[in-house]
This record gives sequence, structure tokens and C-alpha cells, in this order.
Amino acid sequence: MLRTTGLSVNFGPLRALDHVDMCVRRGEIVALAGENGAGKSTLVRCIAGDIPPTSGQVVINGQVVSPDPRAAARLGVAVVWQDLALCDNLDIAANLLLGRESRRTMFSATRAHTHATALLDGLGIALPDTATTVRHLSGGQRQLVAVARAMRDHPHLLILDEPTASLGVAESVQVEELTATLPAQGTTVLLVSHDVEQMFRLADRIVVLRHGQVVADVEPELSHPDEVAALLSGQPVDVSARRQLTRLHSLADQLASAEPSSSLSLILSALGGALENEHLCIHVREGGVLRLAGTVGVPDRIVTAWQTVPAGVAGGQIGRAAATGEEVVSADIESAAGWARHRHEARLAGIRSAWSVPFTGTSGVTGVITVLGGDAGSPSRDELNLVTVYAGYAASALERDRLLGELTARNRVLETIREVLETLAGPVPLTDGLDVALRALLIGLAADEVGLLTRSPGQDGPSCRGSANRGDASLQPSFELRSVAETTLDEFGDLGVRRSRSPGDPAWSLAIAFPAPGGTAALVARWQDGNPGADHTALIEDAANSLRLALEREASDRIRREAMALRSSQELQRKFLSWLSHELRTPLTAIRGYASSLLQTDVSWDGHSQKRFLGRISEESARLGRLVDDLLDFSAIDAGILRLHPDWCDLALVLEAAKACVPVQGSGEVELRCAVDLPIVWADHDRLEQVFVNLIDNAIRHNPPGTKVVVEAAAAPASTVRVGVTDNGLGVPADVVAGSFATRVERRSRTAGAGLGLSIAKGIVDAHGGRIDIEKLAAGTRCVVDLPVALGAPASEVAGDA
Amino acid sequence: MPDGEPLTCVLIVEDDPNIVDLIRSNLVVRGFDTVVSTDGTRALQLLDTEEPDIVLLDLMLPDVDGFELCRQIRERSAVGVIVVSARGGERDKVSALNVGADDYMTKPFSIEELLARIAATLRRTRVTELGETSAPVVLIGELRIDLAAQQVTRRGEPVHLTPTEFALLRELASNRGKSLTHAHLLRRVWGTGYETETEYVRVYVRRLRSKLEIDGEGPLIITLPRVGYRMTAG
Repeated sequence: MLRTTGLSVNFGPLRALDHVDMCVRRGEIVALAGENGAGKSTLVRCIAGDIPPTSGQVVINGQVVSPDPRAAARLGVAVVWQDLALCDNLDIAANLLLGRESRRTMFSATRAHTHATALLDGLGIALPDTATTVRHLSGGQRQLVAVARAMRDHPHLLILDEPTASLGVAESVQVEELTATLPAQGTTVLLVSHDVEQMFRLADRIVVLRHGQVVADVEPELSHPDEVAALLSGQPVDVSARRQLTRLHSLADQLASAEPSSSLSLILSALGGALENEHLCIHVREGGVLRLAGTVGVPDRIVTAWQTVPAGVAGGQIGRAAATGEEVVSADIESAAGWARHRHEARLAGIRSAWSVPFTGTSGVTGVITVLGGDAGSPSRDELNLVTVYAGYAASALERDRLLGELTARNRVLETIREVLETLAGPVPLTDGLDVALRALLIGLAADEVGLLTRSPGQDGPSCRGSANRGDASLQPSFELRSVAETTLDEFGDLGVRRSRSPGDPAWSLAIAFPAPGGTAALVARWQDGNPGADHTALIEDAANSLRLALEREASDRIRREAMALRSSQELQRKFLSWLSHELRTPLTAIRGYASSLLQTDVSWDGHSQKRFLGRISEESARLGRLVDDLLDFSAIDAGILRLHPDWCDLALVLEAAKACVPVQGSGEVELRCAVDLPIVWADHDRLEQVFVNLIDNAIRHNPPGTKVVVEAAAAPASTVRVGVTDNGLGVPADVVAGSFATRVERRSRTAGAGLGLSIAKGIVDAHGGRIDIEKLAAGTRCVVDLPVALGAPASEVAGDA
Repeated sequence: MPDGEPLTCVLIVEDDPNIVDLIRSNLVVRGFDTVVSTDGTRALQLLDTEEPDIVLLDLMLPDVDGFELCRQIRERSAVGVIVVSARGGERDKVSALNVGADDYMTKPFSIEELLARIAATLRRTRVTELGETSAPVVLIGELRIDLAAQQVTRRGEPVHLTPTEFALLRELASNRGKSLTHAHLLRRVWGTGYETETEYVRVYVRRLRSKLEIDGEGPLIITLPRVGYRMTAG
């Protein structure tokens, strides 16, 4: 779409452009690279029609550009010059529409802003309100406005003149991101730049100008920034150096993803390639010796001899290199020191020279690379430097392996802790799992004591959630550990690590504070001797993180359980209400129904029917009354305000009265057996009668006709009387046995079907200081009521009265 | 009740003896025949042996869940079912209608209410009203509604509808293309006094749709939100 042919521009005697032939294809981003004075600006001004070429021509979309900026603009060329040409005193919208104000936008600020916003949105540019004055924008934002303005008329070719030259990194990224999207909008980009890295990020092609001439036209994928940099400066490109660089880059990439064990071999083979030498080996220092860690093309005999080499003079040139930290070169092994023992093997293998280059890590010399040569002579400085570079890689690879090893050990401890914490989610209560986790941490840290303490707002001292120590005698954390935890929580609240050694205490401690559900927590470790380092800190931080999750899970489990209990209690209450509604509405229905029957005008009831209806009304009213009484009793018991009117009473009489109250179909179904020596009891006669009416009634009502109920009463040990109500009926379901008199909620639900009788019976017996139990028999059910002989009265007094 | 015709038989499913006596006295004196069951099993037996015209079903029975019993009755018979419940909540009402009840009566009720609901349900569930409509057979797509014979087929397969379902379908089909309000449908199908029981129509329209509409075809019954329903004209 753009082509320049033989384009030359002279400024007086100076030739700014010298037969420039270049082209830009549609949809490309082409970078125009060159040092200052290379002719970039002149070329751009020529293309934009700003200056006339001395010879040659610029062709855009098949049309020759005449030296007139407007002509170029008509051909779809837009330029964002380095100075941007924005009007600082106008807002974004005004700048975007500058020179293109239509009648519509000129008179309507709203339209102008809508138009401007649409333009920015279309380009995906995020800017503040379009009413912001350009003066207040950052450099990057101004550049974006300038690009947006240039894009306003959808140019075919957009020339960006050093768009990021004066921008910071973050702003450059914004501009680069925008530039990369322009081809998709149908605009081809010519990017003038001297930032080589940027060209490699953005451009499809790079055209390099030097002294007004195109010296190269390269594709980034097939080139290297160093090459372009060399082209720009006119330095000859050293192909071998470039190859070395490429080799190093690819080595670095491989090392990043390689298994730790294979990194030294990788380095060695890359170095072999770099030196074009096939005989190398690498030793790694382990204490006082150097162990052979990798070889390429080294004769077997030498490999055997060099498996382990002592550091120092005894270790030949490798040992000396390790001991001194200096390169050791044996230009000719025939005469070199330290080769006496291996000279024969070396000679057989055709080796004449050797040089050893040591490399150092954090703890001094960590290894030696040795290169064996077939010819006598010293290596060149470059060769030595090359080995030094690779030795550096070897040193960092070793360091990385060491760190990975440590990390693995730490991960193993953490994994143990994590596993323990996972089991906490199971049926094991948190405290147990917590102790196991803390014990694992104790071992992982090699500490003498660890403890986890939590504190909620308003609480004085932190409370201990778990601890572990070397001596297993004391399960409680020491006073010192507690005080460290307290200090840490005071100092950091919920975030911070504290490494301390209190005065007069030789022990070091490491404490970390972190947020816990309902407050803060501190994880503290103490060492009697030994000093916690960075690894310990990292481990305790990781452990704190795991423990925080465990505490959170514990809290959420508790909340979930509470919610479930609430839901089930709501369900029980719903059932209770449903039952109550039925119990209340049924007698009401009968009363209302019989009453309205009598009032019907279309039928006349005979006297017998009328009498029956009235009887039913009275019967149902009584039933309703009893239910209301029961409900009131139940509420009183539930609210704890049941009032007793105790007196000395004869249980036999109470039971007789109760038996008489229960409407039985046919006599003899309820049998009363009272011991002759039954003591009189201090109790509320009417209330006790109510208890036994309920129990007997319950036994009869929930069993088939003909069921026999036996009521037995006798004195029992510890000044009590025991009354058993036993039936030989169907028996209550097991869950009813379990829950009949249990908790408040269960009592309501489980006995709901059986009326409130059992609940009230229990309430009354409880108020008498007694207890009531229900048990399932092989055939039938047995209720046992134990009552104290005297409610709150001294036993002697009772004995005297009896 | 005119002499000579068989007596209308009411099955009373209720475990409270006084309520049974109340209902029975009032029905017998007005010429109904009654049978009583105090539990679910016996109720299903009586349904087969006595072939009652209508069932009064108490939801709270000792041995069986009332909703479940209602569903079982509906599986065996198209008999009119009036559910009697101590609970007046919308949820229970809709649940009962969903399992096939024709009407829902809350305790305590008056004798007038009981008689009125029985009469309305009987009117709806009895095959008596004929010749009301000019077109005895209505064809909509693959649906054939024979208003005279009270038979419906979908793709040639007979569809079983309860009397209440059919009464609602008849009302909609006789007025195809016309919008019918909730109140209109309630008055025409359930009877005077039911005009505010909107859930009845909702539940029954849903049942008709599930029995009659074919996946992939347009809706047969169109909902007019907050107004009522209309049966598609074509």
C-alpha cells in the first residue's frame, strides 16, 4: 500500500535520504529503525507530503503523493508527530474533534462528548471523562488522545513518530497495546522508533535506516534484537558471537524447565557446543572432595580416576582450582604439575592440554569445570571467559537444586500438616488433629515447643488451642510461650511475624499473628538453643496459613451445624403447630357443626337427635377445655412457672383417683397394685393425679382395645417411691422411647402425636424433684416415675411422720 | 332427592367419631347415603365396593398421610374429592389440589358450607349437562375434544380427565379464542362463591396442560397474567 522508489532528499550538500526503496503492505506494522540522523524523520515527512523529494517518489495505493500534506491526508495518511499538537487548554472531546467540528457537534456539547466517547470506545481506549482538559492528562493519556484523533477518519496508513519516546514503562505498554490493535481496525502502521525491544514486540517487519540508506529489512522472528542493534550502529555482526548468545538463551530456557538432576549435563553439552570441544567434565564440591558430576567425551580411565578428587594440591589441577578459586591451565600435560599419575591415560586418549575453571556459589567454590584439549597450548581469553559464563550457569543450577531440595523437605513437613488438617474435616474432633499438626510442625521446625493461641476481642489473655513440646510431661504451653504470643498479638494484631529473644531467657522464639474466626491467633515456636532462620520463618508462615484455614473450617462447620439444628427445630415446631391446629379445630368443628345443624331451617330434628347434638356440643367443649388446660400447663412448664401446692398425700389415693378419671371401655383393664408400706409423700395431689391420668390414658389410647395396664407403687431406696405404669400393648417406637421426655424441642415433637400428656407429666414430676423414664418391653411399654418422699423436707422428719 | 333415583353416596374418611356423626346426621337427613372409614386402607376398599359419588377426606388420619391417600384415590377413580383439613394455608391447599382434590375445606366449617361444597362438586363431577354448546366436537391440532361424549383424544390416544378437569376444558374449548377471567372460570366450573379461589384454576390449568399439550407445539391454553386464560383458536 506504500512504496517508495529511489527516494532521495538533499538538504544543500547533505544527503538525508539516498535512494530509499521500501514498501509497507496492507495490515502490517512496520517499524522504521535508525539512529539519530539516519533519515527516519525525513522519510516520514516525505511520505506525509511535508517535504518534496529531490528525486524518486512515494506511492500510496497506486497514487503518487504530491508534496502537500493535504494530498497525503486525502490518500489516507495520518501522522502522530512526536509533539502531538494537542491543545492543552481544551478538553479531550474538543481535541478529538479539532478541525472536524461538524455543525451538529459544534453547537451541542453533549453531541460532541457522545461522539468523542464513541470514538474512544471504538478504539478500546479507557480515559477519564471526555470533559477533562488535556493539560491534566498524563503523557501516556495525551499520546492516546493523539492516536485517537489520528484514527478519527480511519486512515489507511498511520505513522507514529516515536510514540513512547517520552513515556514511562506502564504508559508505553498502554500505547503499545493500542498500536497492536490498529491493523484490526483496518489501519496499517508505520512505527518510527529507536527502541529495538519495542520493535520486536510490535512489528511484523523492521526496516533499518543508516546514513539515509535502507541497510536491512528483517523479520523479528528470524532475527535477534542484538542483530538489529548492530545494524543500527553499523557494527559488523559477529555471527559466532550471535550463535553463542542464542545458545546461552536456549540453555537458560532449558534449565528453567529441566529436572534438577539433568541441569549439569545440559550445561556441559551446551558448553561443548560453544567451545567446539568434545572433552569436558564437571566436578561438584562436597565438603573436602570434588565429585565428578558430569562428563562429555572424557576417556574412561580418567573418568575412573577423577570420580572423587580431593580439594587442594593433592587433587591435581582440579583440586588446585577448587582450593584457590582461580583458573588452572595446563598448557601441556607432558610438563604440567599434577599430571604424573594420569599422564599415561591422557596420552592414550590423545589429550595434550587441560584447563580447569572453578565456579562459586553462596558458600565459596562449589565446583570446577575442566576442559581437555587435543593440542598443547593455552586457551584464548575468550574461551576462558566462555567457560566462566557457563560455570556461572552451573553455580546457579547447583544453588537452585539445593534450594529445591530444601523446599522439598519443607513441603514434606507442610504436606504432613496439611494431611493432618484434612483429617480434621472428618469425625476426629479438631483438638486431636490440631495436636498432631502441631507435633508435625514441632518436628519440622526442630523446635522445642510450639503452640497455637487465639484471642477474641475483649478477652484478656489468649487461650491455648493446642501445643506440642519435646518433653511430653507438660501438655500446657510454657509461660514464656504464652507471653510471646500475647506480645505478638498486642504488637501486630492479626498480621505480623516476630523473632525475638527475651532478656534473661536464652531461648529464641518465632511467632506469627494471623486472623482467626472471631479474633486473632498466634502460632509460636521456641528453641532452647539454636536460632530460627529464614527457612523457619517461611515454614511457620505456611503452617500458620494452613492452621488459619483449619480454624476457619472449624468455625464454618459449627455455623453449619447450628443452622441445621435451627432448621430441624423449625421443622419440629411446624409439625407441632400443625398437630395443635388439628387438635384445636376438630372439637371446634364439632361444636360449630352441631350448633349450626340445630339452626338449619330446611330440616327439623327429632328430640332424640337434638339431645344427642347438645350432648356432643357439651362433650366437645369439655375436650377443648382440657386441651386449653393442657396447653396452659405446657406453657407454664415450658416457661418454668409451674406452681405446686404440696401437702402430705397418700399415693394410693392419688392412683385410685387417676384410674377413675380415665374413661375405659369395660372395667378391669387398669389394675392397681400398691404396696402396703407405701409411704405418704409431700406432693401436689392434683398435679400427681394429672401425671398418672396422662400416663394411664396414654397407655390405653395408643394401644388396641383389651390392653391391660398395670400400675404398681412401692417404696424404693434413698427415700423415694417408685410407680410403674406398664402396658402389654404394641409398645412405643424406639425413637419415641429415646426422645419422649428429652429436650424441649424433641419433647414437643415426639409426643405431639400423643398429645401434650407426656410432656406435662415430665414437667410435673421434674417440679417435684423426681424423674420419669420410658422403656420399651418385649411386649408393651413401661413408664417409671420416681418421686422423693419429701420435696425439700429433711429425711428424718419424713421418717418421724411415717 | 327425588324418589326412584339411586341415592347419592358420600364416603366420609374421618377418624373423629363426633365429626363423623355430625356429617352423617346432616347428610342422611337430607337424603344422602353415607359410608364411613376411619382409616386409609378401608377407605380405598369402600371406594371399590361402594362406588361413592363423592369423598370427604380428612387430611389428618392416624395411619396414612392424607395427601398420599388423596393421590391414591385419584389414581383409581375420577370421583369428586373434597379435602377437609385443619390447616388453612395456601401451601396445603395447592398441595391437595395438586394430588387431585376437587375442593378444599378448612376446619371449622359450617353445615351450610359443607352442603354447598358437596352440591357444587357433585354438579361438576356428574355427567349430566349436555347440549350446551353448538359444536359438540372440538378439534385443535391433534387434539380431539368430544364435548357430548366427554372424551378427549390426543394423537388418537384417549386422555383420561377427571370431571373437574373436563369441566374446565369444556369451558375453555366452548369459548375458543376468547379470554376468560379467573372469576368467570371459577364460577362456571366450581360454582358461585368460588370466584376468589384463583389457585384452583391455576392448579387445574397446569394439570390440563401437562395432560394435553404436546412438546414442540404451541401452547393450547394461553395464560393472561393476572387476568385469566384463553384457549388457542387454532
